[in-house]
Amino acid sequence: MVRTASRALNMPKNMAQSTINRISRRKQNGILAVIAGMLFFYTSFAQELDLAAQLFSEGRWEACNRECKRAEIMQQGSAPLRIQLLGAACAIRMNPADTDKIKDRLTALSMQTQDVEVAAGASFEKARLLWQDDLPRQALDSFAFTFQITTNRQLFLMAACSAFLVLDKNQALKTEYPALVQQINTSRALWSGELFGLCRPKKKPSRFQIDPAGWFVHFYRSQISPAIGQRCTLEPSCSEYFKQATARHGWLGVPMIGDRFIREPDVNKYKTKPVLVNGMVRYADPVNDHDFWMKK
Amino acid sequence: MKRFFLILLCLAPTVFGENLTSFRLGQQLLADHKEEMAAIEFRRFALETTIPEEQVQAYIYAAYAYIQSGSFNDAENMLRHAEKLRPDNSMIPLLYAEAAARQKSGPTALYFLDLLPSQKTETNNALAVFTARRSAEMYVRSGQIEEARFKLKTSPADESVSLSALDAYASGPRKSPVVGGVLGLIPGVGYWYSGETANGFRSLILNSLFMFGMYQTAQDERWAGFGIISFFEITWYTGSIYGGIDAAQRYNQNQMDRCIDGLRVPHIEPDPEITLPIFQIKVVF
Repeated sequence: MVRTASRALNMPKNMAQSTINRISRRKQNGILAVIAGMLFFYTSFAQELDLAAQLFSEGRWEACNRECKRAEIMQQGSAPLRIQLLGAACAIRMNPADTDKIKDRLTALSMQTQDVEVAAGASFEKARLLWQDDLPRQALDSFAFTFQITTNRQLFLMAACSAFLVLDKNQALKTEYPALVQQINTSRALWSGELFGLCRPKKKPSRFQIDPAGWFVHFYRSQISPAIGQRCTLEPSCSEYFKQATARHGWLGVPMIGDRFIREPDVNKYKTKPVLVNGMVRYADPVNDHDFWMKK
Repeated sequence: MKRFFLILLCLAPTVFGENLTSFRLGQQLLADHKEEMAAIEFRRFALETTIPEEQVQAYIYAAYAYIQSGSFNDAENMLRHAEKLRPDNSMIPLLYAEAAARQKSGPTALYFLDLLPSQKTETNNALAVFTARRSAEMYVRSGQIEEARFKLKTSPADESVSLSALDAYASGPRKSPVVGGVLGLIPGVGYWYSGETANGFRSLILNSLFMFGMYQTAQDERWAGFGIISFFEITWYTGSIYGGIDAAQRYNQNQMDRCIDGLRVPHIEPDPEITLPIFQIKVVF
């Protein structure tokens, strides 16, 4: 393992051993989470990025991104490529809907030749974005690139498994990439169920999913509320309360909102828990105050 | 005590790491109630310093900051880091207990509160009061009034006010949510049962009006109107039943909150006057 790591990370054996020790210590501490495509960061990051890597593994994207920016500033503009990649990975997770700029950053990182592992990681992240955007051919190209250049075992397997999943969904591509299919199949014995779980992209929520409460709230907000104005003096507003209540308790949200309409004048009268929302005083009446007794 | 801190202050650059910037920033952010950011600064300091004692204190500070921000899992993570370095630090069980208490996990909080040292010193006396009252609170929350009373009697302070609040709670009335729900079948009565008169009348009037509307539209065979009015009436009627249950629960919760207020549980915070990485607790009454 030390030999593989030292070869993969291009560092002496004793350094690789200390890195492995550090990782196993983190594993024991329970802070190391295997996050798609980013595992190799933990093996090779400089000390100044320890905190950023920890925050990344905890899913604190914003804080991690801030740490990366701090590291970039401390490096006075010439930030190491790994910091840039970690920052981009955080940005993707912070704002999954707006990834166009990040794609460009990832493309630039994947094309540089100074750090092969960063190029592989960036290419992998980019491939996942392309896959989510339903661009299987481009995604497959990027996965193939990662698969061919990385020396990181986890990333290698993830790229292979992801490419397999892309090909599985798009059978027509199999005939165009016979060599790649053959190469991918050589690593199949090492794939696990967990790996498939990590590689499968998260489904985007459908615009037409069955959510009558959501439709009702949407209709109210788009058609009725603009005509009658904001009438609710509570926080969250009644429509938001209904949305939250139905999300937590399904149809029980109907009696909950009925109860709230009845209680609303009382909450206003006693003026308990005033909060300032957009410069206006409202009275807090969260769902938590009315479902604390239900079994969660 | 003052002499001890003076010596510590003089030795600061040698005993403690020289660069305390992250730590100081963390303290500043904590004072500004930016707990999440403070925790990150403390963690940074823990990674920067090579002195294990400083790392322990930094992790404890980070845990405290996370508790304040409501990130209890992260707080426990930080405490685990500290525990690995110094398992005998007395602040660790205290903060574990605090995290559990904030999550209303009574048995866990009580377990850790029992682990706290009981030597009699000035700080420990205040801490003993805190422990007794916090334990009593946990017992009250789990409905064990006698245990709460017993805990209060172990407090070194005068607990007559707390005990009378506990007695008032023990002898005070309770409302049954089941009865509230059943009474809620008659619109408004569920609210009246828990003393919410105005809500009861509102529920009764709204339900009566909409039921009348349903009756009228059905008689006139205006089925579209009947459907719309029924839709709203279902909301009011089920709301009345739910309100009966919820009002009873709220009533009981208010009684409990009043009792817990009466227990006058102090809060703990790191002593703001200490500028070195030492987590010295201050019990604020």
